[in-house]
Amino acid sequence: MKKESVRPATVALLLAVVLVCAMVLQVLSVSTAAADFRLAQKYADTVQAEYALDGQAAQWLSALEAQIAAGEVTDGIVKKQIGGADERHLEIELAVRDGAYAVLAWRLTAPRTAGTGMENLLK
Amino acid sequence: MERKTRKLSMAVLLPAIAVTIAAAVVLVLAHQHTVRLERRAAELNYAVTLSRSVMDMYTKSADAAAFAEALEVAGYTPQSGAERVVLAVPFKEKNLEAEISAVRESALETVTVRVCAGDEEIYTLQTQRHVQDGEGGGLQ
Repeated sequence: MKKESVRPATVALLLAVVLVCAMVLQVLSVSTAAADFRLAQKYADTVQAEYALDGQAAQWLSALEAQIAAGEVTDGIVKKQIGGADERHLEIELAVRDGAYAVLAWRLTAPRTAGTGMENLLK
Repeated sequence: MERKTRKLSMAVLLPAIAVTIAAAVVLVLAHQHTVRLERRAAELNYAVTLSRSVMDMYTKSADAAAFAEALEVAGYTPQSGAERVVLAVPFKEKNLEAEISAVRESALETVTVRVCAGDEEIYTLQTQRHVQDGEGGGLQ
């Protein structure tokens, strides 16, 4: 009966294949986790920016209310955009009448970029 | 001849074992890094959701009683102070703290929600709201 021996070169080759597979899987895993973290950070920044816009709008509204009370604003529609047009911004529309105002629109708007997919969601 | 072959085999096998051990160490470190990144992302997402919901509860409440009721409905147990409210929120193995503070200057109220884990600040959300007379200052 012939004795079959395990060749060290075969073992080394097998180890190399297993290692390469494990490395590839680990690299994928790290890059997925890093992408998740970047997305979480982007979302956190977007929420902060949204609330900052709301804060700026509140400041503007406060100043406008004082102007209305002083009779410096005539009756009609007042439109205001808070934030740059090429980034996430707030569009506000108010109706001023008889020294009082009503909010007609309070929209958070983000400009869409052609040809991109998910990026628009967090812009 | 047999001795020569055995020598050659050892020459192949020993570096292979060394490389395997080195690769195993790298894999373990990479795995730890992955776990850390995932945990931080989950913490940040939770902190954003928490601060956002607490901020909305506060800004939509007309007074302190309404805010306290909203917190109670959401299942939070607040510890009230003069100008701030602290919520202890368990998240995974950590205890997060959400601190809500509000400072009023004439018709504007600056509201800040800070989410911390111990001394580490995870997230801060700040906004201002326009308040009418008799409104705002809803923390006490």
